[in-house]
Amino acid sequence: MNRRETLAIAPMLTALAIATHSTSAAAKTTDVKIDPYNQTPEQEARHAVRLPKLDQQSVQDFLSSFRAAIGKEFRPMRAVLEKSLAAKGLTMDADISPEAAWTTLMQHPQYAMSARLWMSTQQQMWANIYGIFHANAEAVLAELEKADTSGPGRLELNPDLNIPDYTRHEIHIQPGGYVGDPFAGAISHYGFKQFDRNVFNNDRMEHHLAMAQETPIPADGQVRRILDMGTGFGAFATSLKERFPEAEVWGIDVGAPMVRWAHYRAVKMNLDVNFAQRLAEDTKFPDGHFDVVVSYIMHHEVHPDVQEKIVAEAYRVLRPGGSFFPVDFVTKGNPRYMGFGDIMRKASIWQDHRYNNEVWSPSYRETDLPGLMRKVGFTDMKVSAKTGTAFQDVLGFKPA
Amino acid sequence: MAETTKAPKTLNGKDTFAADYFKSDTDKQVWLGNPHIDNLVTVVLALGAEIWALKQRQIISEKLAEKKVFPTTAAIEAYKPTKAEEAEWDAERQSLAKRVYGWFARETASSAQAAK
Repeated sequence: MNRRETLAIAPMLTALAIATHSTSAAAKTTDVKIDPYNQTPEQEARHAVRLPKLDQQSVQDFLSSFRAAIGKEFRPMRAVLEKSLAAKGLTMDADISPEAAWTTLMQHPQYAMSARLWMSTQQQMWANIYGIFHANAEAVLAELEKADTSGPGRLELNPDLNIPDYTRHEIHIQPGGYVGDPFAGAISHYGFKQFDRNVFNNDRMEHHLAMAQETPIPADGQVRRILDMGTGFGAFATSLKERFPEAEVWGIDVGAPMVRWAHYRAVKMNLDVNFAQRLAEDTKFPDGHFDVVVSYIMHHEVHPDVQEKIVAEAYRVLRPGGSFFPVDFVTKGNPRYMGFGDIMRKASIWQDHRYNNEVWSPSYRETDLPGLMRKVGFTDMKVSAKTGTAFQDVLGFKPA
Repeated sequence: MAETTKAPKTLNGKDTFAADYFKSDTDKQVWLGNPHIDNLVTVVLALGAEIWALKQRQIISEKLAEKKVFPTTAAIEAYKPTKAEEAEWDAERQSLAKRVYGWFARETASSAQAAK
C-alpha cells in the first residue's frame, strides 16, 4: 500500500477481485463469497486501515495493543475486588446502582488506575487522529470536495436536515461526535480500529466483511436493493456491495461528515454505493423499496423514544419477504440478556455511559429490541448472541 | 445538560458540513486524586507510543538490512509486514506494556488500606 495517500486504500481501477461467486438460477442474484480472514492481496489492499505515515500508525498500534493489555494486566483480579468490597460490607452482587458501583470500585487504587489507562488510550487515540486530519485540513477538504461529485456511487447531503439533539453528543468521546467535526468520518474510520481491537481484529475490515457475508437474505434469494441505516463510515454498506455487486446499496447517516467520508472511501474503492444524509427514523425511501435492511451498532446510540420509530421505518421500507438485520449489543428480549449484572459489570457500564459518553447505551440495553420488531410486524424472528462478543444478531422478516 | 459547542461551518474557505454538538466533559475528570497525576499517566503513555514508533522503525530497518535493502525513509514507509510479523509486533507491544507499565498494577499496603 502507499502510505502517502490520505486514505491508504489503493484506488481500485480494475474490476472487483472476486474469490468465488455463485448465482442462483431462480433469483439471478450474484452472491460473492469472500473469506474475510483469508483475503487476496488485492482485497487486503482494498480493505487495509492504515494512517498515512508509519510513525502515525505506530503510535496508534501501540495504543491499540496497550488497550488490549489493560484487561489482562492492569484490571484488578475479581478476588482482589471482592476482598475490597467485603471490607465495606458489600458483595459482588450487591443491589446498588451502576453509578454507585463505579464510585465504590474507583476507591480501589488499581481499579482507578486501570480506568485511567483505558480512558487515556481513548483520549490519545482520538487526539492523534484528529491532529493528523486537522493538520492537513485544506488538502483533505479539497479531496472530499472532489469526491463529493465523483462516482461510481452518489452522495446526497441535506444542509436543511433538522438534526435531532440526541445525535449531537460526542459519542465515544470522539471530538465533535458524528455531526460536529468536518473529518468525523475519517476520525471514526481510523478510530474504530482501536475500538474493535478489544473484540476482534478489524485491520482489513474483517469484521464488516464477515457481517456482510452472514447477512440473511429473503427466502426467494432476490437482493436488488439494500439499506444500511446509521452507516457511519460506510464499511458495512461497502462490504454488502462486495457480496452483492449487482444490488443497489444505500448507506444513510445523520452526520454529513460521516456520509461524506463513507462516499469518499467508496469512490476510492471504486464501489457503486450511494450515501445520503438522512435519519433512520425517517429515511424518505418509498414503501417496500428494499429487499434487505441492516444496521451495525446504531441502535445503542439512539434515544429510547426513537427505537420503535426506526424499527417501524425498517418495516415500512422493506418489501414483503424482506429481511431486517440489526447488529448491536445484547438487549432485553434476548435470552442471554443479563441485565446490568454484578458490581464489576455495572461499574463498567457506568464508565462507558458516563465517561465514554455512550449517552443512550443503558436505555438501549433495557429496550426489548426483538419485542419491538415483533410489535411492528416482523415474523420468523431469530435472536442470537455472537460467541465471545457482546453483540447480538436479531433477524426478522416482513411477511411475504 | 451538556455544553453546546459551535461547529466550524467553513474551514480554509471550504464548507465543513459540520453541525453544532454537545461537548463531553470527560477531559475534565480527575480519577487519581490530583489532576497532575492523571495527566502524568497520559504523558507516560504517550511517551510509550513514541518509543514504540522509534522501535518500529528500527525493527523494519533491520528487516530491510537483512534483505540487503538500504533502509531509506521511503523503503521503511513502504515496508509491508507479513501477518506473522504483525502478530509478532502486537505481542511485543503488549509485552512492552506489561514490562514498563506493569508497575501501575502493583498491589500495595496503601491500596488495601484505601479500599477500606
